[in-house]
Amino acid sequence: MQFFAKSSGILTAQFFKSMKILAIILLAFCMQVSAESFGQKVNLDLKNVEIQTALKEIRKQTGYLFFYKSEDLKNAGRISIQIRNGGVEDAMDKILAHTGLYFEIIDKTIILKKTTGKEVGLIKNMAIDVSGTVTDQSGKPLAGATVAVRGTSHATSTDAQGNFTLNNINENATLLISFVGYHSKTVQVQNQSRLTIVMELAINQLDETVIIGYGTTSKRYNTGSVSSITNEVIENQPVNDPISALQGRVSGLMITSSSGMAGSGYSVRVRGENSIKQGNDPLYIIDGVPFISESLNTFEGANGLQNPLSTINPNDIERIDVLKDADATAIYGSRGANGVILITTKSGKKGGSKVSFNVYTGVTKINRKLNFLNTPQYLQMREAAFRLDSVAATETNAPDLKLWNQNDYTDWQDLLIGGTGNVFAGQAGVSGGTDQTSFILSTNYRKETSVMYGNMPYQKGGAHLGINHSSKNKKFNVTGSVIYSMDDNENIATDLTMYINLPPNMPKYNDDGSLYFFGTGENPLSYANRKYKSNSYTFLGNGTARYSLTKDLDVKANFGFTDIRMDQILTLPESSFNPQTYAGSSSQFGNSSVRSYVVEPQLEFNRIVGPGKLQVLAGASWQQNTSESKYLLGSGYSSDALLKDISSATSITVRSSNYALYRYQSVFGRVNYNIQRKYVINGSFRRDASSRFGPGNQFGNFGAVGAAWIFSQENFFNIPALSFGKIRMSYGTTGNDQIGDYQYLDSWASAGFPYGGVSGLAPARVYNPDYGWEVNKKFEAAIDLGFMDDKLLISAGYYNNRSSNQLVGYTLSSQSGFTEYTANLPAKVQNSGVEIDISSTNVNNGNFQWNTSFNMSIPKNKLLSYPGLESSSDAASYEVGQSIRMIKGYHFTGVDPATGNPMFLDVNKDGFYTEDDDYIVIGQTMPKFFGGLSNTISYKNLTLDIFFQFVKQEAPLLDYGPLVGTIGSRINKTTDVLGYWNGYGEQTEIPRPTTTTTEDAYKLFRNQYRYSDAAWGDASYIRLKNVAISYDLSKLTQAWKMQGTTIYVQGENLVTFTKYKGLDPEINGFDRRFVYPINPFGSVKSPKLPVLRTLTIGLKFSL
Amino acid sequence: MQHNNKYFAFLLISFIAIPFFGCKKYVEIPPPENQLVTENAFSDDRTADATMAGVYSIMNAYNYQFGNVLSSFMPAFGADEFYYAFSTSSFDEFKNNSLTPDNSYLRSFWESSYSFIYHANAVIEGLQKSTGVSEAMKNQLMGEAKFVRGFCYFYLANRFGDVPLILNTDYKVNTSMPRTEKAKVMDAVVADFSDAQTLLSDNYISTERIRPNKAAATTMLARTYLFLGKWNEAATEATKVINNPKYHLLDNLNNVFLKNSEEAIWQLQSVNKSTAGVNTWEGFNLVPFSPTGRAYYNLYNELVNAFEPGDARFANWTKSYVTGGKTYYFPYKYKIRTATPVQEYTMVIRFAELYLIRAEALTQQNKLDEARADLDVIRERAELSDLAVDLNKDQILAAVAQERRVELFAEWGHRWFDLIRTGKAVEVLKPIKPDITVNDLVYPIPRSAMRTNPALTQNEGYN
Repeated sequence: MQFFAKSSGILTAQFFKSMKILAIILLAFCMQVSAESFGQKVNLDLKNVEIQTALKEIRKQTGYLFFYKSEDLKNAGRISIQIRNGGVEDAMDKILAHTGLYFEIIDKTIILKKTTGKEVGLIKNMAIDVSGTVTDQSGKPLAGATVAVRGTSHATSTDAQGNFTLNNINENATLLISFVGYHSKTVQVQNQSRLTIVMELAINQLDETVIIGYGTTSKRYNTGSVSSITNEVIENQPVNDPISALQGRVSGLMITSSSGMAGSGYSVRVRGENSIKQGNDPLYIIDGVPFISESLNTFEGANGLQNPLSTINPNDIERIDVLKDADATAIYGSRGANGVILITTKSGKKGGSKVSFNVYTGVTKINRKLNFLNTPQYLQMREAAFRLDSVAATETNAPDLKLWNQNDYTDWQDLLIGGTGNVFAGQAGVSGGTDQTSFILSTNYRKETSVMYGNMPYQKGGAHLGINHSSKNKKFNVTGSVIYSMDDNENIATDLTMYINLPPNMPKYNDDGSLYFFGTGENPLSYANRKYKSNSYTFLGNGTARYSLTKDLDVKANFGFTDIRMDQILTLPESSFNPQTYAGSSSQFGNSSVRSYVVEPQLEFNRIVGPGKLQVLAGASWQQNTSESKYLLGSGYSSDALLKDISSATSITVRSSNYALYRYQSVFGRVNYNIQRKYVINGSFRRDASSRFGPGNQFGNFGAVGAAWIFSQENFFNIPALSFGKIRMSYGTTGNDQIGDYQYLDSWASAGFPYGGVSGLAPARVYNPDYGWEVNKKFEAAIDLGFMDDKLLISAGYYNNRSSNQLVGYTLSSQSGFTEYTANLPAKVQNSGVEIDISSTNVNNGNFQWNTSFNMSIPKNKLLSYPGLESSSDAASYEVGQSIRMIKGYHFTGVDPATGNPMFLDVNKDGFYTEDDDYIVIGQTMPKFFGGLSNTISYKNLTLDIFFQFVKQEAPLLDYGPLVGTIGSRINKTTDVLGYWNGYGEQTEIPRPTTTTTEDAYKLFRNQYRYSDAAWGDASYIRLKNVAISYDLSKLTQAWKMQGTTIYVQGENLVTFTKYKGLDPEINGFDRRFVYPINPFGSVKSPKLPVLRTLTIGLKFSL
Repeated sequence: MQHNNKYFAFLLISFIAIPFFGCKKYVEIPPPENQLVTENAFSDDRTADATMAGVYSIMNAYNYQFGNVLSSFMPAFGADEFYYAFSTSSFDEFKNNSLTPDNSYLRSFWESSYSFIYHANAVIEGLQKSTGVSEAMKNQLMGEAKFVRGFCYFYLANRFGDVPLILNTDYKVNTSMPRTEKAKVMDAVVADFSDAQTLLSDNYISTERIRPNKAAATTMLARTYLFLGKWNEAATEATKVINNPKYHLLDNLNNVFLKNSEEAIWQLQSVNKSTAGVNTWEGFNLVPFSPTGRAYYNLYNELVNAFEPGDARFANWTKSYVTGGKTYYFPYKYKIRTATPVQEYTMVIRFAELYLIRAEALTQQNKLDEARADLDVIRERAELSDLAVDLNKDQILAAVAQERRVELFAEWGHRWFDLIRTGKAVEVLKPIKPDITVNDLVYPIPRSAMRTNPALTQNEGYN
């Protein structure tokens, strides 16, 4: 019982208060409930008209067709009628009140008949029991469909076999059947005791299924904030990684690539960054099984840390749902704080076996280039530096001026990253199914070559198998899916992009053809010989077994197993070194693996209770992750040909060897009550225990309440153009435990190398067991509107997330022996913002269709409070009221015309430029707003899809950060430096060239300029992210029994509009995965390969 | 069927209910397979020994670290010993005495020193609580921990002046501790070396001379007293080691820096096998790649010219190469760039220094004859003639400085510290480093340390 005995302090008074308020609001909603039917709305205001006129009006408003004998209406007379927001049935009752006619509704048809007198008696007297089955169009039973008797509160829901029974109902009653994702349907009982009802899939976006944690809902009834991307959108993009397919498509989701290299990682942020110093990655769930977000790399190659999701084939994915607010994420408790990304893989469909193929091939290039100085311009700048420094250029300090050919020119940018890559991808699959069993099996292969110098192919391949089986009575159902994929990434050790600014006249080769080196300097061409190779293997298996205990109660269990491995080899042969610094060949070996299992038994209860439909979910979860890694270094090889063989090394060093066990255990539940399809209340709860916390701190409680009011269903609501209106709100708490394992442990770990035959130990960390869950309180209020029969859908929401009890690697001053320890920081961080989603069907007539969708997010991040900040080790890094990702620096005030030295604002006026004291906030790394605009136009067989992504943001420019040399040092600069100060009295904004460390100009550049707002600026961009044109050739190929034959052209990152002074505004030098402003300069990386422009042509068909 | 269902439901509900009722054990995981909890680390002699071995391993694991280049090269650049032949800004800052608080080597020195201090403090605290470690082992390790702590503070205080004096692992307090007056830090250094001297035995715990023993503590104590001007104590301590039969000056200068040479008091073992054949990182950096190739570190002409004609140390401990028609010299005490098996270890404390300590201390006490005798021991080994018998105190002090310069060059910053403590740095260095000021003799507190501890103040002349 101790499980509930302890209060973790997470469900605070404030939470209860908010729940109370919500409860009151909901109660107010409930008071509005009347015995209103489920029919479509009618508004009539007619005076003295013929009945036909009234019927025409109803037809116009509802689309119902009428059948009647005109003679029956001939003598019916004229009527006056006023109805506001009435049901069709009500309207008909009123219209026919004194006509001697009655009506029946069959599907969308109303039939008028003359009353004979008998019917009245029957209606009044006969009560029968009706049972039936509800299925979809393929005959698959629909479990949990609502079956209601019109005009009464009598209702039930179907069991797992789609069966229902209604006792004691009028034999002529009308049944209204509704199911999420399907059109609602009315059926006349007409004295039948056994009904088979086939539901039609809704094309209305509002009724499409939305996947949520441990269940499904529809956009119409969802109380939470969920954005979805389906396979059609993913398929339009010739991308390697499913994450990149989401870029710009989802409001609230900011995705930034870390490099244009295949397989490289992404920064994925749902509604900003909540955690000051710990992980801000969302939780990934693939088919119900948590997937890791941390890279498995033991060391980095040119593509950096590989994204483990990159091995998943985007085309195996059916849909991706991004859960954002408390209502949607609280069911994931302690891991929901940074949002949840649910990936659902494709499953087989009933029908004959279908074999499908899809291949495409294309080319890639970097999307943007820099304008570097040419040789004369460069040499002029260098000469100016020596002249202004009053230092003589010599062969040692200026080989470019004294030693190298003054006319040579190498476009290093073009040579190193300007190549053309090829991409080829193909997949083949088979799917099919019967009433009881369906399956899908697909295989895929992809190969890319790099745009970088040296041949480095990236290949991946995989298979996906999905099976679904039900027992004959449908009481028992199992689904299973297995994904196995692997990649083979041949790379080099370092991203050569960092060498594109080498002097343009630096020789590449010696006269004898060998590589040229100046002193101990580098020649990037030698790095092409530093081969890096990684192989990843991903196995994902999951299964769900479901059994219907009663018609209301299902019991089910999810089982999942993942096994992810990565092997890496890096070889450093003699040929990859400057012979002057060569100290023997060596190679590095990395192996890592993460194995995890999850078991999640669940109970689902579904029943009509009182005026609404009640869904209850209760479940538990056990999860274990075991991760291991080894990083070995071999040296002393007798031949460079043996570098890949560790047993040929005479000396093997263990660089690191890691092991971690992570266990996680939860109980969770959710209650959803949908009253009259007008009011929905949803409450969820989770209690988590995690091994990442020390004894006494392992448990945490999380929960949320969400409510939605579909006000367009109200009688009093009458705006004809507005077809749908919903207000929803949610509030709740989620947590974050991305702190790594064993952080509470007081322990010693290997010191690395044995010393004197003793394997040494070193303190693993400073000891602090007293830290607990990070708490993230999320509030959201949103309005969803549908206009013109839901052809135009607008959704606008405001969210406010506050993260407190921050789990941090608390910064220690290095004098304490360590630079951080894990603790809860009392700081409070707020992420608030507005998100807008618009989707519109502009034209939809037969041959011509035009759809537009638009999303935009305006996030704002703010440090609300940080008690004790002034005296803490974070004093220089954070400011209350500012973004937690603010960047401080000097304010550049211009160049002194007398000296050519840059000048800065001396904030404290002490005559010195001092870090911190003279710093101002020069910007922040999080975007100000971002979004995307997509247009899909199809005319007959031709479909065109155009997608623009836009981001408003700031970033470091080329001259920012500690890796940047002065103007005039032996590195090339872009043409932006032209106009540099060149002599006394010159007025310019660009400091003078200098190359001597003792010069003031040199020191000012290195200590101030490159950390000032002169080197920081706008990196906003609008990118033509994706264009997809496809032409459906099905008609032509029918003769060969080919179906769905489509030829297509797809382009990715085609055009970028930006004023950014740097390579790529997206990959702008900040590695956003690791941006902590502890030392704002420390997180600036050397330039990385820009994202690639890709153009492909492809063909798909099935047999 | 109905009955079955109920049974099934009961099973599943119980399954779900388990976590509600004390299945707390599931998330209580054992410590990882690659770590040892602190209690266990000090539960017996073997693991306790490993906690101390770890410090030395880390000190010398990679290039440019506390145990090698950071401690030997950087001060040599700042003084008039040798320089890097090419221009790279972080080296140039040392060479030009224009250090900025951002300098990465400076930061590395600060951070690694304090991490060894934490390590030593953790060992001291672990041993104090331990019941399983034998008394002998406890004394040895306690002595080593205090030695290491004192050693780190010795260098911190002599480089940075006032530094935070941290003597326990209470990181929450220590992280914001202000700087302690240099004199107090030096008192703590004396205390640590004295304790270490008491606790450590004459023998090495290891078969090799790679872990500090009593003689190492005594030498450091002698050196500290010398730096503090406590001449009598310095001479007394130095004598203790000079009389220790374990140590000799080797006749063959080429054998001095070999591993476990009889002149070695404390050496750091070469632990890193990741760069094949590295013996010492000093040798790896200083010795040219090919026997005829150029070196990257050149001796200042001032040092070359400082050798008296016929000094065997010049012939054996320096080497020359010619490039562009000019002859350059580089330090050649370590002779191996790479070779297996390992023949050389990094020399940290060496016997010759004790004669020089005692000679200086004796001179200061006006015991000029004895002092001259000590200097002559060093000179004789270098195949130089004895000093003239009529030298006065100042002349002998100059002779001490001269011998220290040519005997101890390129080792652990001796020259840099000697110039500073004798007040001659600016005057001597000015001709080759025109911009040098007295402020440059104290390093700036690294920016990263200042940033994370608002209580720290910067040294004069830096911002």
